[in-house]
Amino acid sequence: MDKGNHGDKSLKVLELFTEGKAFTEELLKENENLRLVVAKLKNEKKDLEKKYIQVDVPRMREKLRMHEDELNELRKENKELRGQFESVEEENREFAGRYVQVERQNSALINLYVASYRLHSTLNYTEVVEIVKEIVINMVGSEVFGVYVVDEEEKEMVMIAHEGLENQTETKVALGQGRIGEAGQSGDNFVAPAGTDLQVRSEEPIACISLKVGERTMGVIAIYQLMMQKEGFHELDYQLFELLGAHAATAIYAAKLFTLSERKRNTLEGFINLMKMDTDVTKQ
Amino acid sequence: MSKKVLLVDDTETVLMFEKMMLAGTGHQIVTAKNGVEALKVAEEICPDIILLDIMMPEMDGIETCQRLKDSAKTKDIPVVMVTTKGDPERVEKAYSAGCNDYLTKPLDKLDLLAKVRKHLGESD
Repeated sequence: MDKGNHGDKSLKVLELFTEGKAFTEELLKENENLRLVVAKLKNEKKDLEKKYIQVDVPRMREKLRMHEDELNELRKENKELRGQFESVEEENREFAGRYVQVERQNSALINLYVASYRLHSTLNYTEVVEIVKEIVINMVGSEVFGVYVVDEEEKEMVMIAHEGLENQTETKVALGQGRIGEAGQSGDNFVAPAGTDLQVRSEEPIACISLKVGERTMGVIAIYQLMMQKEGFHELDYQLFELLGAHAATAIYAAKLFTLSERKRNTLEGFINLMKMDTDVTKQ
Repeated sequence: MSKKVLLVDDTETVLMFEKMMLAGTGHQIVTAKNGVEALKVAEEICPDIILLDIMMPEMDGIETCQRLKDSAKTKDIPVVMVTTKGDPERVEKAYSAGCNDYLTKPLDKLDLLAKVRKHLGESD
């Protein structure tokens, strides 16, 4: 019995020993594998370090520097282009401003040309007066005004045409009296001071334009009210006043003389014809 | 491209003034001295735009505009009213008559050209 028990124990010990041997061998094998992996990784690490140190860093730094240079160059170019763009924009604005200015001058010249052309386009007195009215309405933009001429014998001014003054009973103004009379006597223009409401009908004229031939005052255009869309007098209006002052006066004066001379010519022709008829009758 | 512009006004001064302002546009300018004449010319030549004065003897601009808009042949022609009196009531009347736009006197060349270009579909 005892012999049999000893045999079993020695078999179990042998078995354990064999298992321990196999386990140790396995551990050794795994250890070797791990050593290989570690060695491989160390090599890889070495390679990577080599690459990083020898190739990448200097090249990358160079590349980075190049990119930075390029970026700086582009930034500089961008700044220059921005500057050029702004300068072109400024030039453009300047040209647009100049265009508007030129067109306004052009418009003013057209106004003056048309006014002057129209004033001297006829010798018919009624037509000339009508043209003066057209200019004051359509170019100056007046809603209420009167055109007066000087009657030197009576020392007064007589209204020969008007717009919007239908209810005004007084059509004569003594020379030197009020703004109209003063303008007629002195030959100076009058324009209401800044701040005056020019779109409301006033008792006294807001502007008086003396119509002069040389130094002689022939009449006055008295403006009482401007159209509601016209807030005040502009540079062009003063130029038109100058033009009307000289050209309207000449046109009215010339038309008046022409009408008078025509009348005289007709009278003389009638008289001559009568004389001829009388001579013919005497001969017979 | 040259277009036909019909100017209607009873005063020769305004017609001459408008003609000179439009002279550089290259458009063909045709004029009429009153509403009746304007209707006749519009039917005949079918202008591309009409600048129509409001205050005219016989037939005023408002009635002329209404008639233009009533006619099948001329109803699509843009009408720009030109008025000496720019009060809202008058402007309202003009729009009721079918006008497309309006201008007040004294005329300004830049305004006039801008409106003409706008209604002719031209860019500035």
